Amino acid sequence: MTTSLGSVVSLAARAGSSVVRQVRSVVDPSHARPAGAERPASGWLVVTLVGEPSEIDTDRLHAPLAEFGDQLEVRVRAAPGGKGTELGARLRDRPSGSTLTRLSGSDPRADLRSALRRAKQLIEVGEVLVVDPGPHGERAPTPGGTLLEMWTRVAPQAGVR
Amino acid sequence: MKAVTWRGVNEIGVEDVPEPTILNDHDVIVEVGLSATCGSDLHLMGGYIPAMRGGDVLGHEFMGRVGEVGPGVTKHQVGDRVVVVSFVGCGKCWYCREGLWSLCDNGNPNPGLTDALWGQGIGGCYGKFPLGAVMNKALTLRGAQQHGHRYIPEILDRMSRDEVKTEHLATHVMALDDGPEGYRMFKEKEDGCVRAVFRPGG
Ligand SMILES: [Zn+2]
Ligand SMILES: [Zn+2]
Repeated sequence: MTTSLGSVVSLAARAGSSVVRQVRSVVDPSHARPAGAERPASGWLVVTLVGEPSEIDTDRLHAPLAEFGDQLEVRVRAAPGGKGTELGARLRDRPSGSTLTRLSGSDPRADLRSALRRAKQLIEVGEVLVVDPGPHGERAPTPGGTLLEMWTRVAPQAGVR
Repeated sequence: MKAVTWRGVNEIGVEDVPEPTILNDHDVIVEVGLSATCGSDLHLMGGYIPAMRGGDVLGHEFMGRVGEVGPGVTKHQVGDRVVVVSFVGCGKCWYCREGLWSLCDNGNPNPGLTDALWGQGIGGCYGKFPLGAVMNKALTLRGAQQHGHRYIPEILDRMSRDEVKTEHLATHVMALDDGPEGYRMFKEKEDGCVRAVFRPGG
């Protein structure tokens, strides 16, 4: 692998959520206005899957999504450009949370975000990727390493939307 | 097993680390025969990737022999000789099916941050040595990577017909114990070093 380090760093520096928010509001202006007046449902979280919409049985969702029971609303439709199927999910009576809570995986939809990602892996691959524990030498604490450990704990739940 | 590890900025060590284990049904464990230094290792060595931790195992471009297979593995069996591409490709998502392995949708264990940076969880990378299921913690950049899986069969085929020669690239073949020295020579391009290649078997 060869990464362009300069662009990683500059992207990271510019990664302010304002950039993300601008892009997102162009793509989907509805995100700031979730449906429902008094107790709004959270916005849709969507993953794109290989295969046809008919292959997804919404009455028999995979375990990570089925756990939400009646709380969950699910939407299945063909992805644009023949790229498979979009599986969307949202929680009733649950707001979307702020950008900061979303990025840190502490918003009301954090568990759903993680569940949707796991469901995608189960549908496409048949298992959820596990990477720890892996072999390593004696750990020497570094500031970056401490941050990484914290991040690894919240990352499965975190996201932009 | 023995491994070359990152101990700190420009500090490389050789340590005893635990044996890798099968974590996923589709994992295999490769007994590494040869492992090459790579330009991206220089970013790791120099501390430019902030998430490096002391004790991280270096080396993500390697070949060897399959020593153990997970229950879901159908393509390989113990004893197969393999060349490993560092990207984790699930083989099933849209990108993998199109041969765009380094864009795999399902190979990134920490997708949240890269969702924020690039709008999507980018591919993951085997950041360690040998093939445990540990990755370069999602610090690879979507779009700037070579879909190596795609070209390996053709390259191997051409090598077998002597149409592609690679010997001149492996300028310094060394024992794993010489890892720190090999990485230093590779970094400094000392003695015409193009690639230091380590032979864990001695
Ligand atoms: Zn590399
Ligand atoms: Zn894939």
